[in-house]
Amino acid sequence: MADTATIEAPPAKAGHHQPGATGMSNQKLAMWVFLASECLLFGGLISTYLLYRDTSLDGPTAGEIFDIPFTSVSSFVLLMSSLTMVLALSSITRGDHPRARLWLLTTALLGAIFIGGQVYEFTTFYREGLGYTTSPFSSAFFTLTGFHGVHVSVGIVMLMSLYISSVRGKLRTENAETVEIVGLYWHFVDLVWVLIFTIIYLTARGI
Amino acid sequence: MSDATIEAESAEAHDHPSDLDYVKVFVALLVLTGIEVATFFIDLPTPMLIGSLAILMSVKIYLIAAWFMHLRIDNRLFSRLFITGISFAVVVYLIMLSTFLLWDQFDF
Repeated sequence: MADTATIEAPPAKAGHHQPGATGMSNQKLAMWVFLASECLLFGGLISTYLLYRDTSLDGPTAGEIFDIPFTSVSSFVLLMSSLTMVLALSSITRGDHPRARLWLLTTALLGAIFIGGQVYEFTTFYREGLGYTTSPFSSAFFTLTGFHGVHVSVGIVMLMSLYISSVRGKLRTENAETVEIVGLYWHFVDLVWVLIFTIIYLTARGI
Repeated sequence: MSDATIEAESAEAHDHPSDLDYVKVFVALLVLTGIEVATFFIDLPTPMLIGSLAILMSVKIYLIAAWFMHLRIDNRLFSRLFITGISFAVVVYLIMLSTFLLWDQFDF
């Protein structure tokens, strides 16, 4: 029979949730399981795009319509938001709450700029004749990038919730892991954009 | 607390990146993105373009996952979970894409 000491969960570290039977935070484990499942969602959307990207019918093709300099700036904005997110976590871990609030707000703002860029891009494409139902290519493109945009928007809502909690004094140093978990989601969204930017935009030259 | 746990925790504290480390990783990501965009505008043959973009993309994904998502210093189970998710997605969709590409080759 196992010794009692081996069954007891280890004590929580400062800034971390109470560990579960696995010896690690259940919330963090749940987020990683969720992110692993998200790989399949985005894998499916990217694969669908790859299948249909040559099916433009009479609408504009990817090579004709994509604006790489503009999308590069959007990528820069999202990469910058990953840096500010990790700086927010670093600040709250140190107990520097005013700075943590500043970085959280900056991250949300950068996310909003990215979404603004996406809305502008979608509007431009629509005016140039690429609607959601124009061709299988356009449907696959708007579904993939739209799903990513929804993920960024959900991330902004989570960041603003953290900011409001912090302003109300409810986000203390002991809750640093909550910021880390939101950060994991945010970095994953950034990671997916790295994939989309390379696979969808940068390989569109020959299409 | 066991000696092994204390040792592991002190190693984690020692390895925990500083703000400057994060800025360095960000600069590396920016440089890699710049090279990616430059690759797009240089007239490379398609296989070379796709190969170089795939390498640059993989390095960027590694940097984000290892440093910003802390997989480098966090519990190995998280890395295994994430790698399993990515591997499963790659295998499933490679099979799916090959099925579609091979569909026309055979007369079913």
